[in-house]
Amino acid sequence: MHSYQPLKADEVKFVLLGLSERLDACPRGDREPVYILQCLQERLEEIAQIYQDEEPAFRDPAFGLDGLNRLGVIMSSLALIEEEYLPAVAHQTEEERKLRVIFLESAKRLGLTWIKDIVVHSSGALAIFPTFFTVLEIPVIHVQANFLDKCLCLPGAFHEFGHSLFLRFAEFYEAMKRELDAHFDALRKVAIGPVTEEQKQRQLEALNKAQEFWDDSRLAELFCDLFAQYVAGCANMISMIDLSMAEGQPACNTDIPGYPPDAARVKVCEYALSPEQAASSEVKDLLDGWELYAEVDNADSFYREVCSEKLLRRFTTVILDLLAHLMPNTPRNLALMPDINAVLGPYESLTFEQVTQRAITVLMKRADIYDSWWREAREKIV
Amino acid sequence: MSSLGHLSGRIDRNLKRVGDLTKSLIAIRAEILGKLEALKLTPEKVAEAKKKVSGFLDSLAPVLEGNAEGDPQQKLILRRLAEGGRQPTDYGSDFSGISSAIKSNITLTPEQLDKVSEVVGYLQGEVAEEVRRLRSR
Repeated sequence: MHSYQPLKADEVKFVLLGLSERLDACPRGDREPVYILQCLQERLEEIAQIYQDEEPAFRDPAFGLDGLNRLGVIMSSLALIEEEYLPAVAHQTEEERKLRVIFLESAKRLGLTWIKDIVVHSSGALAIFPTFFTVLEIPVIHVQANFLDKCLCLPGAFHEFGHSLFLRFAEFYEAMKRELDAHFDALRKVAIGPVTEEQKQRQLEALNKAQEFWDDSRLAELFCDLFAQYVAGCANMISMIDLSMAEGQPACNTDIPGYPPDAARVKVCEYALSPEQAASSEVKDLLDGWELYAEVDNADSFYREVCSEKLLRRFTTVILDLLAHLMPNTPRNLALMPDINAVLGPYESLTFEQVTQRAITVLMKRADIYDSWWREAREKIV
Repeated sequence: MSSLGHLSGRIDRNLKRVGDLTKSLIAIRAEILGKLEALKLTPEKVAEAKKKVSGFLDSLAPVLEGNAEGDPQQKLILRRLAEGGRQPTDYGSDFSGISSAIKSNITLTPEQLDKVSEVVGYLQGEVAEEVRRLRSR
């Protein structure tokens, strides 16, 4: 007599075995993410032990759905290793190895000291997989192919670091949520004047809907933009304008699941600029151009409700203050774009943070020599 | 800048929560079936499992009975029950009874535990779906 439970249990057993062999086969040279491989191996051993301990339940149809649910959890855990980590660690390209070292050093300088290793995967889009079974030590950072050649995207790496920070300190989410609640509570008090009960209900519903727009994923994205702004200053501001304009999307679109409208993301970065940065011609000119593109003044009433200047400024202020408090060793970038003559002068090495500023400066002011400048600079990133 | 950063954090939290719950249900089921020895489970581990499940039910029951708003996972259970033509309020009152039975050390019937396993299955299915979404991003 055949039953499903032992059949599934056997399948999971062979998936475990196969995955373990594939991890064993990963290269472990000096420039490979060996620490990550060890973490994956340890996690796999833990899962194998769980499987062994509970195998009688998996094979016994009397445990029914409980055994199957448990096997489902094991399969999901294995899928995270197999789908998210293994493709990244199995065949590291030269660019991925180089970026791993660059990102690791940058994370250290920016105070993300809990990150012990990083694996970089050129999978197509800039993104981060920041946690591994509740551990923040070994993120996977996904990048576009030849990421370093896309200088307007470079500050995006800091946005991805921000996701690790957002998960590390619950205080960021809690503070944003408090500001959100206080903002809409205040609106509820003042907005309802001498109106009919029906009008009052409509107003309250609209305010509730606007407040609910800011779910945790949208707050996380906005936080990450502010973190990138905090550490990359003017370069990030320009990168955010690129993010908004490059694909021709409407800047005030409130229908993107999990994301705030691009306009709100650009605006919080603008509010985080120092007065000197905001007044600098590089930033001012690009922002003026973006304003014409974004047409924020013509945005619909829902955008104006959920992304009012008052609320976005509240988010900005509270996050900038908290970053200074919770990450005292993280340097805030309040500098202007570097002087082109200084950039073109001799140098021995460049940090990733410096590269983000200088590459955009050269592209902006001496595009004619960008190619030769960049060929030399990319070899000197530390 | 994809939403992977946020999604992965959520998967992580949900996977841990569902992992704890499914492990606890195995222990309670083993006690009902008289198979604790085969799984090398001690009475202390079963007591710990019962505490975990009754905590889960205590916070879920008011949501199913319409007396609390609930977190995203509890709302998912509410939605799945409704979609499956079940009466969430019935499940809510059953879960309050099951939790009381656990706390009073009354042995649960397999049918009672099946109801808990059913809703934990919704959460397990959702985590599996979230992992699939990672692949198709």
